[in-house]
Amino acid sequence: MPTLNHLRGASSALLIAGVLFAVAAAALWALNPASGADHRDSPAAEANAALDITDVYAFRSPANNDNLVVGFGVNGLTAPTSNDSARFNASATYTLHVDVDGDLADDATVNVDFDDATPQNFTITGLGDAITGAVTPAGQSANVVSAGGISAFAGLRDDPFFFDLTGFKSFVAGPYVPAAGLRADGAGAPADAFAGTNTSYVVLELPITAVTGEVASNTGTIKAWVSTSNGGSQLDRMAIPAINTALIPSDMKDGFNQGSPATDVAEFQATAQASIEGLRAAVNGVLDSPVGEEDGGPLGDLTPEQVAGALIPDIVTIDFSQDVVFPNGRQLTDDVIDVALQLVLNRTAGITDDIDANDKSFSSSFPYLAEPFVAASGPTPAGVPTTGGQPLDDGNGISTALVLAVAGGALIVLGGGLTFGRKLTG
Amino acid sequence: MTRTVATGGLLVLGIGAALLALALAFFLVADDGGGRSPAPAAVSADLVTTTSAEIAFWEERLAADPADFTAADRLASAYIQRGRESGDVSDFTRAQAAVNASFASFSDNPAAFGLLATLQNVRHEFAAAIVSAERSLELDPTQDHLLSAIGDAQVGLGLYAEAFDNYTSLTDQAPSLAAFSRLAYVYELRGDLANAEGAWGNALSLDSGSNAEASAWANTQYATFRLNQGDLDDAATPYDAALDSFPGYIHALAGQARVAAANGDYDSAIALYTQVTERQPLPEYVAALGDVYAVAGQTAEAAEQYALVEAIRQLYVANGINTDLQIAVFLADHDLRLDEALASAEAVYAETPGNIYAADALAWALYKNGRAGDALPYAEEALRLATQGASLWYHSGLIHAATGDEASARAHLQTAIDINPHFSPLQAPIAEQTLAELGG
Repeated sequence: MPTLNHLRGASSALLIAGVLFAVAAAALWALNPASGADHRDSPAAEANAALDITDVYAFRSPANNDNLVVGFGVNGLTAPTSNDSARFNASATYTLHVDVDGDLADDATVNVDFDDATPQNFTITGLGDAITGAVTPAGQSANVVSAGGISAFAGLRDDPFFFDLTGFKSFVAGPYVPAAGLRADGAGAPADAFAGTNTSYVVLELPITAVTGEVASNTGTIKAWVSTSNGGSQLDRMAIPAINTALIPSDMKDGFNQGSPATDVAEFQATAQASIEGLRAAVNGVLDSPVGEEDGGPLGDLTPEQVAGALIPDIVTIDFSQDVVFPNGRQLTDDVIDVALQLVLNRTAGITDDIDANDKSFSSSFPYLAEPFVAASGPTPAGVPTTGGQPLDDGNGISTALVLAVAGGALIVLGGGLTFGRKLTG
Repeated sequence: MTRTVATGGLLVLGIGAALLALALAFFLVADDGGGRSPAPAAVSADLVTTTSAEIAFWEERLAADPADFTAADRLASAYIQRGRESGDVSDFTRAQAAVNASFASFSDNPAAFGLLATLQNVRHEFAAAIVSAERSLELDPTQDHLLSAIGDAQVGLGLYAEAFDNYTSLTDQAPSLAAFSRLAYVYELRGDLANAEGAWGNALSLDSGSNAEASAWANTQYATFRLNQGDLDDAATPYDAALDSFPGYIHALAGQARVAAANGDYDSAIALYTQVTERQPLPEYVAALGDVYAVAGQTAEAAEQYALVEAIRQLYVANGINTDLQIAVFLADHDLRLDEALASAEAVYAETPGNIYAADALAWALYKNGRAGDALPYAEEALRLATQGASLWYHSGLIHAATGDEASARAHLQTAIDINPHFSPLQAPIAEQTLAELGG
């Protein structure tokens, strides 16, 4: 068995090579002394973003007053550099549920399924003959499939939601007197968390009368919601933004995602009402003294019970005899977070996230949502350094690293010991 | 005498390496303060470039709005991914910085607790990882995927039954490559090769193709699973598949090197391992290269590789850095610094007493230190799951032989050879020889 006495036979060149080699190895290890490179470590299991519904829109078509447009998104916060990995789940079904008689039971369901091709193809069933088409790759003009008065689109779009998520979360978690928008003093300026990012969307446009069964497009009421399911199990559902986030406590979120509007009132209305009462008390304690000086929300002075009754069941209601603007439906341009938060808090003055519009303009033609952001192409994406941090491996093994190390000269002076690389973890 | 000389040489090596390593460490992290990070060691340029571009995107967002916790979460996740792709472990440190930024803005952020759990598992802080993952689930119980982080920590701690339950829940609730590959590993540990094979089949069939690194990882792990059963031919295809998904993926190249060595093609094995260790000088691959040199009769080259592993070991000790279980096994395997091998194995065993590989390392180190009697209970503990791992049975066989239990020794050595006659270029011949001496 070889032992170290063989070292006596090794040339000095080998020893030098050994030292240099060890340097590279040690430097890599030293930066993270634990076995961060343990190749047994499995890839992280991640939340399935392709099944996580980001938003549901339902509005009167800007291009045709007699048409309804419904859109829903998944794969939220997709960086333009990751557009290629934002796919719909081929084993899942995306379902739009529509109730036209107000009993909260499905009167129509529209299922959208995808295949595994690249680009993917979609199949829409439940609107007469099946509608099939290709998902539009980012950077290409929208592939609009039209059949029987129905238009359909699927693919990445600029995320139409505009909202200071950071300020909102922080404010709802523990209210304070906001310094700017919903941001606390020192927490920076309000910023649209979704600006510059893309989301996968399905958009449908269809005649209102075909949905309502009415003879005209200015009568009738529908209630709609969207769900995702896989293997028969519902994984997410959504209609009104921020309800689950703000009003449903942690231990009920699973049940809420798997629930349906028909049972929402029984299961969640009291809970939502309690959440609203708690939020109002917390905000009133901060913003006004004595407690209770609410100036009323966008629909007037409403009790927590009334607001809970408006937000639960979680459903988008559109009364076509009225203006279709949130909360009667939801248009792309509606500032829903301000309205929802004002409703919940029964306040209007001072309750705004200060993000009033999307980062891109919406289109006047189908699918209305703005085109997705596309990362600059080329060998070196913007923002990636080209100097000072060259790869250890430049095609010649570890040579670059060694050049760096040796070129350091007085490098020992610079180091803070091998703990340097751990400074952020300590 | 030999050892004294060698130790002195290693100390010199260690000091020189330490000084130079400081410099390299500085160069690698010096520009962190600017909000930018150096590109990692490129393996597959396309893959790493894409992930680097995503990192740049979220870095920019976070710089523009330091309170943007969602950007911080995404940034941490991208750094973790690039660390996996490139092997540049400093990316995990950067990921931790991003998690810290997320917590600074949103202290009850469930996503940040989940990312923290992943990083703690990477650092083998298993107990802490469980606490973080449970906190994350408390804040947002819809995150079924966090069962993976809890299960991973439990595997590290040797809580295999608990890990199995969590992985089973994961495959039920959120079936995925990540879920089934974990379940496959626990089946393999349990010696249930049929179910492990089935779980690997599920894992690979659920590969969404959206993460080339994950795809390469799973194919490589599956190939190694086959290789561990001595199936040299069956391992080749998934190794090739891994390299198709992720060209230059070092773990697949190392697997091909292992296959070549098992086939007696030492030139190819040396070429492949050299390619691997030039890219990422991971200790187990440096040691494996040394072993192939040794069996090829190139003892000077073998000793050189072993010395490199030793030099790195010296750096660890000199800097108070926690060492790896693999180092303890390496030292014992090569009859080097056996006192340190034992101390290291004892430390690993104290941290994770239920982990069968910690028990195996301790048994092996005790045996090499002439304490076969003391080693025996740990060797039995290492086999408590009836894991079909040849080296576990080989160690146990030698330990039983040294305690005079020749029947068990014969049985265990035969089991090792039956499982995989190629389990190690250095150790497998010793297993055969000992078995012959015992009249097996």
